[in-house]
Amino acid sequence: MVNGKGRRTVKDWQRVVFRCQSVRSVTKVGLIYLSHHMRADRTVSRPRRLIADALGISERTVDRIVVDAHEAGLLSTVVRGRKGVTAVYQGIFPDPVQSDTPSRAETAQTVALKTDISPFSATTCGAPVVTTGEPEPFGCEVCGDAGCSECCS
Amino acid sequence: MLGVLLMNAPEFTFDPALVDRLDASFIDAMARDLAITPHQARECLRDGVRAGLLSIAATTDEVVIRGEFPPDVGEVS
Repeated sequence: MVNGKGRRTVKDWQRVVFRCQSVRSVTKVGLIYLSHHMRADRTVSRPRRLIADALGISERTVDRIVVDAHEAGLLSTVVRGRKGVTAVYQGIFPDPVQSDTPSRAETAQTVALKTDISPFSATTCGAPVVTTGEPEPFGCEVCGDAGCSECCS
Repeated sequence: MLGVLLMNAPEFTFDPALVDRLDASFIDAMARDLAITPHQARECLRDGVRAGLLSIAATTDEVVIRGEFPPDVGEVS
């Protein structure tokens, strides 16, 4: 689901996290916690200590959650954390084909938006694909435009 | 009138067996959202009841679940 501006929301990202089968339950809990502090662009910055306290886990477990989420293509690093600087992460949508390749995750999101693919069928994260209603129409093989009448005629 | 209301007031308990009486459409929706089976969804709720995080009440026409604060966790600010 996308909003009027064609951007996927924090709510959309939460749905993908809930359905994701390639991360552990503790990672899902951590990501849902982070989503409660996300800005509209799905970026979030939260000191590790606060996350650990809120979830009743160790800071080391928080680190593992972040690594797990990166590997699943659910999180990308916007600003690397260092002494005195809290890391900034962004919730991203996993690559539907190679969900184990996080570097392609944002690319997949862009492609999904351009081709108007449902975010739920495009970002399965290991979950079975559930489609509802009519299937999405295929675009032109040459230009990729769904409404093309020049290349395909 | 008050007697009728009191009779219908749901009494919340921590009985995991009552999860079986939850509406199937609710369980199906939960299973769909979490990409799990309905059986797993029910087990998840039973776990919540056993852990004291959920209580459950059954009246003649509906089953209601409620979030609870187990004593060892308490309310988190």
